[in-house]
Amino acid sequence: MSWNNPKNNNNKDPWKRRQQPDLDEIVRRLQERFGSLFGGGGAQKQNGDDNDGGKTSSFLITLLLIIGSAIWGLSGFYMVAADEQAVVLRFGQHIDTTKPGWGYHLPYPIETVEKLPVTRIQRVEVGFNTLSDGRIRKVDQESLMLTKDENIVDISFIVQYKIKNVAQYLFNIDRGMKTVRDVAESAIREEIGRTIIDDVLTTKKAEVEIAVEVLIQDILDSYESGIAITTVKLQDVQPPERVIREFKDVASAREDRERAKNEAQAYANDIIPKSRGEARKRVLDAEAYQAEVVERAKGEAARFVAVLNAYRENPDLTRKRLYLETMEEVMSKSEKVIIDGQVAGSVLPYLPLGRQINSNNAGGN
Amino acid sequence: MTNKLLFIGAIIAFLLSLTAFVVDERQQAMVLKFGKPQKVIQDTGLHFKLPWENVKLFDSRLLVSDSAPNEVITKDKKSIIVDNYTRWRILDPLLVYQNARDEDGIAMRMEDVVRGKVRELLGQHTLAEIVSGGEQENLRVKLMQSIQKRANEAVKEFGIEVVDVRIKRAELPQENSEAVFQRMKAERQRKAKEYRSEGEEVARAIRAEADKERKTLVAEADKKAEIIHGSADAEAITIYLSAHTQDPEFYAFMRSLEAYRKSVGDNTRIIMSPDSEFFSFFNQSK
Repeated sequence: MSWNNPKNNNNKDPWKRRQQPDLDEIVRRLQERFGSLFGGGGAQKQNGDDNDGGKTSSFLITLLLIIGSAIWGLSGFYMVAADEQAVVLRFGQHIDTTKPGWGYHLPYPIETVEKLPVTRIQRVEVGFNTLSDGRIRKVDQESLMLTKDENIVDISFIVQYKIKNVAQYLFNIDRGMKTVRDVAESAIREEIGRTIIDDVLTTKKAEVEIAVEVLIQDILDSYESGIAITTVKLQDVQPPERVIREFKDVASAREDRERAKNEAQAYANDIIPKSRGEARKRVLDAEAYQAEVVERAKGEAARFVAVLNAYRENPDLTRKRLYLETMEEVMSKSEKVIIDGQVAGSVLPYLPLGRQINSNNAGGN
Repeated sequence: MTNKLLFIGAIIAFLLSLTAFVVDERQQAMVLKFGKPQKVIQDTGLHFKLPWENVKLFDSRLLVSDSAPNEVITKDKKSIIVDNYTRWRILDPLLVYQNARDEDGIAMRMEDVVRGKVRELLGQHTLAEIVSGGEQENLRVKLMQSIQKRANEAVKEFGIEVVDVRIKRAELPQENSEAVFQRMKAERQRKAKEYRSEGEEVARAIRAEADKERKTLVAEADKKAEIIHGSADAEAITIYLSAHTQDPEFYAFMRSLEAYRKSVGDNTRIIMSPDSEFFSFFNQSK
């Protein structure tokens, strides 16, 4: 109603006002609104007395501004630790890479600093997980892979890496650790696919480690990822669970083969010397026999010749004596039946054979 | 005056927040007015827009997309499960926005393309070739390069590029794995058997050889022994004869007496006539 009243010249016509925007007016209006938040009740007054209240509030505001600016300014200091590297971004644009030490950048949001450790070694486990209590859990999908001769082998390995270029790492790729893991899985399968299972299990482990390391590094470099691989190590290379027993048995079989050979050899080493001994013994026995027989013959012959020579001095007498001596000995030992030729005709010769014969007893007939 | 400056500053700050924006090293941006794309900004740094426009940010890095494994049929009708990852990059946010609104959306469409190419290219080779890499051992690499090239061609219209496609895992499905395990088992068993029978065979040979040698040694010794026996006997006979032939008759006599002495004795009954020579002086003294 007020604007229809001609008396109220002081009251402005809101419509008229709108057609003539006045910057000062606007500022003053805002000042009125916000002034009440800062100063005392002073800024409420439109005229007159605003010097005092205004001075206090503006002094406080200035003070706060100065302090705020100082803090804001100081927030630009930063420290890069010895094992870190930092990048400075101005409005998101990379302008500098800094080395360890203190540095200053224009505060946010003008410049920001992002730091990453460049000497700390990160570790990726493929094919297994080390749980918090130190136990190892196998991850079959990651660890089972095909070899060149279409067999399946179970490989767990680790890859260690560090960030060699912070700018590349931050700005070129996303998800650094997953990148390393993916590339590692791809690289190892590529290598194992080129190797036969027996080589993988035995002689070529070191070769595979080196080849995989080179391959992973090449791929990461092609992404300009700023990642440097420090180690690739095969922890555990074995046949899959299900066939381990059969694989182990092959080793046992090889041992069995050697054992059989060795046992046979031991047998041979035992009986051949024994046989040689046996052979020698038989020959020696024969030689002993030979010595014995020949010596006996020589002795007998010598005795005979001696007797013969003695006999030749008086043959008849010697003969008689020898005969009688012999017969005496013979007769005295045996049972004798002497039948006179004349009597023999009238006696029926009855000879009980089979009766015990006693020597020296004249048993009669 | 200070207050005035302060509030002018506040207004400036407010306006800036509506018009200024930062495009980070990792990002690229597209400016939209009421949902309609106006321009694409790929330079990093501070940029300005009108207050009623908005900015949609896209990643400018080399991104990774890893979808679920893919079953592929090889040339020799075998089944293989392929798990690959794709590294890709957004080249033109405008096209991305037009085709799929955002990164995730375009990534899904890209995955479809890649999967298709994987199936197509792997299907041209046999399982053995894919696993082992073929004769020159680099078939795997060649395939991945071909897939990347072809997929890249196909996604150009999406405003993205496919930089690298790598096969993380190429495996046999469960049943086939089982078959492989069985085959591996059988092969190892065969080898074990081979080793063992080889061992037995060699052992047998060694033993037989040793037995043969033993028999030979002993037989030779026996032969020698026989010869020695024979020559010993012969020598003895010669010695005897050399003595006995000096007077064969006397020898016969002596030898007979010895024979009587030894054989006739305790268990003998002699029936004799007093006419024997032994009794020649029995009945008379002359």
